[in-house]
This record gives sequence, structure tokens and C-alpha cells, in this order.
Amino acid sequence: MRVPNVPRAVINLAGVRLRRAERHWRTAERVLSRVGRQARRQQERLAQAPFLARAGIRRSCAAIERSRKRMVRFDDHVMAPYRIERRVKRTLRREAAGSRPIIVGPWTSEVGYEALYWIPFVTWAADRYGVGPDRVIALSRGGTEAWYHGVAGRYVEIFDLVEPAEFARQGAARRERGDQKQMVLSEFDRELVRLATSRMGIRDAAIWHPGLMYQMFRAFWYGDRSLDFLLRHTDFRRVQRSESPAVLLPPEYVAMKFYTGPAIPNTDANHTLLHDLVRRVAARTPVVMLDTSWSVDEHRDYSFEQIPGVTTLRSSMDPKTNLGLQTQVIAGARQFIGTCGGLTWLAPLLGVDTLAVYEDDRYLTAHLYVAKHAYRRTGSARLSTFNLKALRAMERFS
Amino acid sequence: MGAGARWRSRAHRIGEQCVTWREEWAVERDLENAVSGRAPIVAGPWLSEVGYEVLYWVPFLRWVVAAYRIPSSRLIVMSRGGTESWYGDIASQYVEVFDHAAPDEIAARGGSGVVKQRKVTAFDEQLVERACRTLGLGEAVNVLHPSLMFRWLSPFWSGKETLAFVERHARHTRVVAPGVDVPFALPSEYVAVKFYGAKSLPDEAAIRAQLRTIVDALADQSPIVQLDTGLEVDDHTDVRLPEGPRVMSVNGRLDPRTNLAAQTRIIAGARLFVGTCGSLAWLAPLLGVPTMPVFTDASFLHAHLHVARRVYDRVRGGRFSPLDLSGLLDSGLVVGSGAGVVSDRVS
Repeated sequence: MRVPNVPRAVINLAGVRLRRAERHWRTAERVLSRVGRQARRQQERLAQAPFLARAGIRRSCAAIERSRKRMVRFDDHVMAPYRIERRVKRTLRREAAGSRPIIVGPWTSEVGYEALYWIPFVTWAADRYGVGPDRVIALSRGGTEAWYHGVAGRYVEIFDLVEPAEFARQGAARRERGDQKQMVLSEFDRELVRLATSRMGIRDAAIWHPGLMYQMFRAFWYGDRSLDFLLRHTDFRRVQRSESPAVLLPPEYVAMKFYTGPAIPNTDANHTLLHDLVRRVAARTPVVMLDTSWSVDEHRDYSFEQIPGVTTLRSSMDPKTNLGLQTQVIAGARQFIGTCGGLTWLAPLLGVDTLAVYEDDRYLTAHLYVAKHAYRRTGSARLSTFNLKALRAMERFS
Repeated sequence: MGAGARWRSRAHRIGEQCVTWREEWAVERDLENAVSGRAPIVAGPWLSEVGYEVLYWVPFLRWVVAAYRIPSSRLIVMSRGGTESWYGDIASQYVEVFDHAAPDEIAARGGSGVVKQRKVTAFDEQLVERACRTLGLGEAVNVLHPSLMFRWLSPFWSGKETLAFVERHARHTRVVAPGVDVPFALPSEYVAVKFYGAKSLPDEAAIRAQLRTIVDALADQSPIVQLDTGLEVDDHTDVRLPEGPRVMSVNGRLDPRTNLAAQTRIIAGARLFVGTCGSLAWLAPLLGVPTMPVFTDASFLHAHLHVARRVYDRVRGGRFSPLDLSGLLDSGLVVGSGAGVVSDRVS
């Protein structure tokens, strides 16, 4: 049996105790330092509490504001167009119910919107709500009866109801009220409908007012509705060529019509460029100008006098029939060249290649987008554009 | 249309709409996966057309960065031709595709008819892998592939989504020209010209004659720098117009690695940019340069023109004046010759 080494055991035990004490000391130190750190952090937090609270509130407010804006945007861009669509469709359905005649119009705004949107919209609506042409009465101006062929069985000429001067005055008043388009049924529109129905001996008629179309498609023009949406609510059809016009025309000719407006502002430079264009086209092919000597809206026709090869039909133009006559002349032309807008939207549907001229396309982009798609779908003639600004850019880079 | 047909058409439409929504949600999910976590994100590799990159991809990335609050330090852009400046400050690093693939490889891909990156290909994956190896990024890398953008915006191009949809998911801004050196002396004042054969402007004799007339008319007033690089990395081939005393060409002078950067620099210094409607014609207005894109067939351009007109106006870019030659050619007229700017075509 071995004798225990007591001193060694004592030393070992003391060492163990010492190391344990050291470990406890370190742990205590760590705990103390952690508590100290936590206390310091707490102190800092307390010191910064108002700032942090303010930042937190700011962040929350910003998040709320962001969400609110998102909701507003969602409402403006998604829900509102949807609500309008529902309202318009309800109105169309309600007016189409029963067997009353339906007045389609009165159309008193621009020719371009009538050709590019209104007639395809009415064609779609008539098909959608099962309304036959026998019930539809088109109420428009300038002898545009042929445009409504197949949709409206009857046509009432607005200029048989009111004088062109009165029509122009009412149009100017509407624009002054801030209603550039016919967004709502105005007193003048009501009066036109009343005159039309009493002229036709109709006691009760429903109305499909152009405002329905404007409300429906405004979201598309602003970019909140897709092209698909617009094409789903329109029915583009080729326009039937009517009989030859009762005016003497060259056997082959190019029809031209330029008017002032946002697309081609009335400037000397534009006048010179267009004059040059007319002169050069007329040197190759006879040109028939479709300018009129009067105006019923804010647009004025450019007139080009005394260019060899240019014929003007100004003397044959009557307010009651001028658009009808222009349509007939365009239908017989080899090509139509004109200000981008108005009849340039109709000409391809008549099967005539069209060159639409503009200087400023700011208000045209959506319409060009629609027109090119619609004409391709209907197999219409070609619509090309000619940008005067591009020419000017080449001329002097300014 | 009878009631039955109407209901069928309605059901078909609803079905189509559901397909569109499902695809949009799927893209959204893929997008969220691509940006989730803290790993670096490789945005690219961009190998498709320049036009889509400028008009959609870069603005789309800018929107992604803002919408998902991605710090620029996480994003690595991968494109070709030295287009770093187009991406501005949205990414911390730019990886040049031509550092990892030869121009021939890219051209072979373009020549095989795969122009738009609607799917992630094995070649794209290889490029990303090579880039990651070079950068020492390892395996943990997210990829934000251009196919996401193509899938996301295709409903708009097909007319099923609105312009507002594009505006909500893309942030267009002006582009700053890069500080690269151009390998030759530029005139103090010049017009930059870049014509290439495309569906919108076929390389045909009558059109070539018209383009020649335009360039001659421009050369009468100012020196011309023709951006015919001679590099063929997609299905478009440059239309080379003859050089003259006032028409200089970049042909053979640009390095593929920096060719787009150099062209951007040249366009940024020009007084006017004239070219085929597409490619750099979408960039020039964002550099503040008046631009005249030329085309004869707008069939494939409608949606892009619609976006461009709206965007350039909003960012106050250079004036954008598209020139459609088809109607003029039909009328026997040409632009830019003789007295006046429109004149008769000599056949």
C-alpha cells in the first residue's frame, strides 16, 4: 500500500479551488461587463428614445402615406376605369332595352374621333346589345350618312336642324366650359335630339350619347386601359364606297386636306413645307384639295391657291354635305394626304392608302397605336405618317 | 352575334385574362426568388437587342432595385459592349460578356434565331458561371435573368396590358455618356448616323437610295459620323453608305468590348442622331440628343413607339421625331434632296 502524498494532494486541491475561483471571477467579470454594456445601451436608448420614437413614427407615417397613395393610385387607375366601364355598359343596356328607336349622337365634336372611335363603338354596342339598324338613327353633321351604313337605318343631318353658325357658337361655348369632347349630354345636345325626334315624328327615343364612348375610352388614352380592351369594345369595319361625287374630277388624282391644329400648328414654316409638298405631288399627279371656306370648330383649313395641277372643291362644299362629298372624293383617290387626324382616320377604311402628316405627335400617339392595329385587322389600306419635325431636324438641327 | 357566341367569346376572354394573370404572378414569384436573401444578384447576361435593353431592361432593373429595396452593392450587371453607363448607379459592378465569350459565340447564338432571351439557356448559365468564377463569388449567387423582363412585359407588347403597367414596372431616366476614349478624332460638330437592315427598314435598293439622299443632305450641312461598326452579333447587318469627304466611318475601329460605350459617347456628342428605328435610336433621346429614327414598316414598332413617345417627353429627353418613309416612297417623293427638304424621286 502506497502512502498518500498529502502535500501534493493539498496543492492539487488548492489548485482546483483556485482555478474554479478564477473561472467564477471571469464569469462574474463577464456578467458585470454585460450588465454594464446593457446598462450603457439602455442609457443610450433612453437618451435617444425621443429621436428613435420620432423616426419610428416618421417611418410609420411614410408607410401609411405610401399605402394611401397606392390605394389612391389603384382606385384611379384600376377601379375607376372599371366602375366607368360598368356604368357605361349599364347605360347602353338600359337604353337598348325595349323597342324604342335609339338616337346615336348627336355627334358634334371632331371628325377624327367619330371615324376612329365612335362609329366602331356604336357598331360594337349595336351587336353586343342586339340592336338592329332599323332601330338606330344616326344624328351627325356634314352628310356622314355613309359612315353609319350597316349600323343606322336612318340618318338625321344636324345642319337641317340648326344653322352652322349656331352649331359653331355652341361648340365654342362647350370648349370654353372646358368640355373639349362631348363628355356629357349638354343642353344643346338635348335640343338637337328633341328637334330630330320631332322632325321624324318620334315620341320617345333612347339615346346613346357620344359621352359614353368618351368616358369608356378615356382610360385607354391616358394609358390605364389596354389596347386589347379598346379593340374588345369596338368593331372596325371597312366603309362602303358610295356613289361617285357629283363634281368633275380628274381620272386619277391624289386627295389632300390640311388643317391647323395641335398636329400641324398654323405657322409660316409649316405653310411653306406643306405648300412645297402639295406642289411636288401636283407636279406628278393631279391633286384635289378638300379645303372648305368655313369652319365649325377650332380647326382652319390650309388653302393652297394657284398651284398648277391643284383643283379645289371649295365652291362645291356645302356645310350639310361637305363630309359626305369629301368621303366620296377620297374613296376615288389614288392616295389621300392630309393632317394626321380627321379624315385621315377614315381614308384607310375606304381602301385608300393614306399619308398622315403631323408636326407634333403629342396628342396622336394613342390614336396612331389604335389605328395601325385596327387597319391591319380589317385589311384596310396602308396608313403611313410623315413627320414635319423630322424634316425640320434635318434642315437645321434645331 | 348570338347570345351563345357572346358567352363563348366572354368565357374565352376570361380564360385568356386568367392565363395572363397566372403568368404575371409566376413572374412575380420568380422575381421575388431572384432577389430574396442577401447573396449577390447577377442581372443578366444581356445578349438580346440593344433597343430592348435601353427601353425596357434597364428601366425594369431600376424599378426592381427600388421596389425590392436592393442595395446597389448586391447587384452585378452583366451585359456586352461596355454598356456600364446605361445602368447608372443601380449596380456596383459591371461584368463584360465579351470577357467571358468571344464575339463569334454571341453571333452564333444570334444567328441561330434566338434573339430575345425568353428562356434561360445553357449558354446564359455558362456565362454567369464563368463570371462568378472570375469574381470569386462561389455558388451562392442569385440570377435576375432577362427572361423575367420579357415574360413580365410580353402582355403589353401583345396589347393585353396597359401602358400604365409598363410605367409602373419600369423607371426611365436620362443616361449619362461614358467617359471612354473614342479611337479617332471627332469633328467639333457632327451628325451621328446608324442604319442597319431590319424588318422595320429592309435593306432594299429604293430604301438605300433614300437613305443615301438623307445622308448627303445632312453632309451638306455638317460632318457625318457613320456608326457602322462591322460587328455582327445579332441578326441585323449595318447598311454601309459610301464614305465621302464629310462622311467618316467607325468601321473596324471599335473594339467589341467597348463598341457600344464608344457609340454612346459619339452619339452623346452629336447634334442629331439619324438611324434605323430600333437599337441606339431608342438610346439617343435619353442622352438628350435630338433623334430621327427612320422606318418603312411600323408593324413591329407600334408598342415601342407608344412607350418611347411617352417616356422621352416625361424625362425631357432629346426630341424624338420618327420618320416613316413608306408613304413618301409611295408618292414618288424623297426626303432631303435638292431645294427644300422634300423632293421628287428620280427613278
